[in-house]
Amino acid sequence: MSKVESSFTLSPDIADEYEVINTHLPILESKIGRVDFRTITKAKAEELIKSGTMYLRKKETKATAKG
Amino acid sequence: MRDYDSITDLAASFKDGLDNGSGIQEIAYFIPRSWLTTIAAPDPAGTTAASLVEISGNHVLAAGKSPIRMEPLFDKSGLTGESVGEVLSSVFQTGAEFFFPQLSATVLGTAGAIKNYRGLILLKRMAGGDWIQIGSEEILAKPIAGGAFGTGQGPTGEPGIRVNFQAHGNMPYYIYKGELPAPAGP
Repeated sequence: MSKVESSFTLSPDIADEYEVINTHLPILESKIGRVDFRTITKAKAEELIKSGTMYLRKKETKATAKG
Repeated sequence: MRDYDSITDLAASFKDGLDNGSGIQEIAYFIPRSWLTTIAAPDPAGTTAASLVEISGNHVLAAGKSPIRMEPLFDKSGLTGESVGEVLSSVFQTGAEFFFPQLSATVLGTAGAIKNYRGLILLKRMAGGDWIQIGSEEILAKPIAGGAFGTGQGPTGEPGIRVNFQAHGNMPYYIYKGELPAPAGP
């Protein structure tokens, strides 16, 4: 999974905690329905993560990154 | 060749009370084969009737590529299919007819650009549910002759452009349950 250059600005509601990966596109036809990464809420992001998406992940915190 | 003797629940029935409206939704996608790095398929080891048509994995787009978003007019667009072929060699011929009621430069250019691509069509029934997929990695969907365009004639004519797609397969169509990134609408 990789971070790619996005063609949009991620929703401010989740921008600090999540990042879009594997796509540059703003819309995801997902297992929980159509999601717009520009306006997605935190609750919807969590639901999307639970669905097993390959297009959104939680950012690593500094503590996590240090391992 | 697939042998269906291993399928354990073959049946044909229906349930009262479900939304079952005619027609298709006004957002669909065409994805040229060369724009995909992975085309997911039904589980070849599946033992249920549904497993023959359901695709739970993800189609994966090539870097920088995007499905072509199509907005067919609900009133004049839809999916049709039929079985064709000879006795004991039957297959399904499935088509999608998309009508666009304006002759904008973008629609005309898109119709011209995709005319010689093959790939996958994804669309949804008006009633909702999972994506209907026309075409597969083995036999891709493609635009076919019969697409038409015109300004209409006189005050009651019909200006617009119609794009027809068709694919053949062992199943009427597939049910795509995976994810797909997509462009924003206009």
